[in-house]
Amino acid sequence: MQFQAVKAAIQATLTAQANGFFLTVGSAQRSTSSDDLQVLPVVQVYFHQTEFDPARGTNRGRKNGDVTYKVALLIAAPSQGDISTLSQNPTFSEVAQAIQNMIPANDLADAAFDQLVSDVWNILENPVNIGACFGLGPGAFSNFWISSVQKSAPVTQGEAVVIAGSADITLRLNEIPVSATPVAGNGSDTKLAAAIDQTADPKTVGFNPNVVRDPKFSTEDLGQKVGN
Amino acid sequence: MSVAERALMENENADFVEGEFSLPVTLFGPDGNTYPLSATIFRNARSERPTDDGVIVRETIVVLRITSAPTRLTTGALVGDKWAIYMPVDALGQNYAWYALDSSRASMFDDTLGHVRLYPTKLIQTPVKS
Repeated sequence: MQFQAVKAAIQATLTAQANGFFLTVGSAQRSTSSDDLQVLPVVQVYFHQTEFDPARGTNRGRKNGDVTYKVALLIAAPSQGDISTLSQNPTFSEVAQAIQNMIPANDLADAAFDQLVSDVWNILENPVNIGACFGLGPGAFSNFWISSVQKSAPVTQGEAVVIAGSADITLRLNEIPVSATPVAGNGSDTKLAAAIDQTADPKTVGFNPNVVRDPKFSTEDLGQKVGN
Repeated sequence: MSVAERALMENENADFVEGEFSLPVTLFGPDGNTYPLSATIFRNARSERPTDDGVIVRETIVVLRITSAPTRLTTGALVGDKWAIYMPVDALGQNYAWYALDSSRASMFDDTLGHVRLYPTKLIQTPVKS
């Protein structure tokens, strides 16, 4: 479906324009190490839901729906201080100065999360990116909108302060059934996954209906798999 | 509790916190003083869920004996104070790392047992601005 191509295009655009400030992944990770997050914040882009309004669309043609994607944001930060001074037999005044200049992890994590929100928001709301529909070409979707951005309370335990949050992207898509004959799904679309090259220029990432279903996979195969 | 019982408990406390399982730690206080101490260090990993996503965080807890710890640290007046801790990160005390303590991580006092538990965050070198 078209929402898969849009998610891939959003992911590819964030990857291409992150400038090394964050890592973009195209799925919801259920467990992340705060050690990794200290090296690089993680932005997860994944499909959340589609609402098909019966008033928009036709029974046998296009289906017009509002798609919501989640953009999960995760960062972690340790404290910062002048370790080099503290390590070299410092005087009283040098210790006091170094301690006073230390920046608590809580402050660093809070500022880093806000900066991550700013970076991601600026890429997603860039008029050039939206105008080109993230490389899919004008008209691929409409009504692009970041409806909300949330920040959770910092995690209060651990060697680093972790802050998580998320943004909701909504947009309107035309979903067009590509075949009148139902084709059995195979659970995960490996062909589509293989077609998503994160390093590719987002302009080249387009929707190709041929990649979303395997012509060799038929309902007969499904029957054999379930033992009918 | 009698004075003798308290003295006995304090001895056991010293044996537990500063005994054979203890490791040497150095506290650097906001007053510029350096405090070499013995402490028991606990390190573990815990799973936190700030949102739907789980995050595995490494946690280090430093247990000090209140009677040995700096008064400024144990009076509870941590607001605005920052401390640096230099301590081992392995059981044999061969590798050391820097940690920081500030008022965003409240210390836990157990006055009955005479312990104070510190929850420091890791301290890294401030990037040098060019």
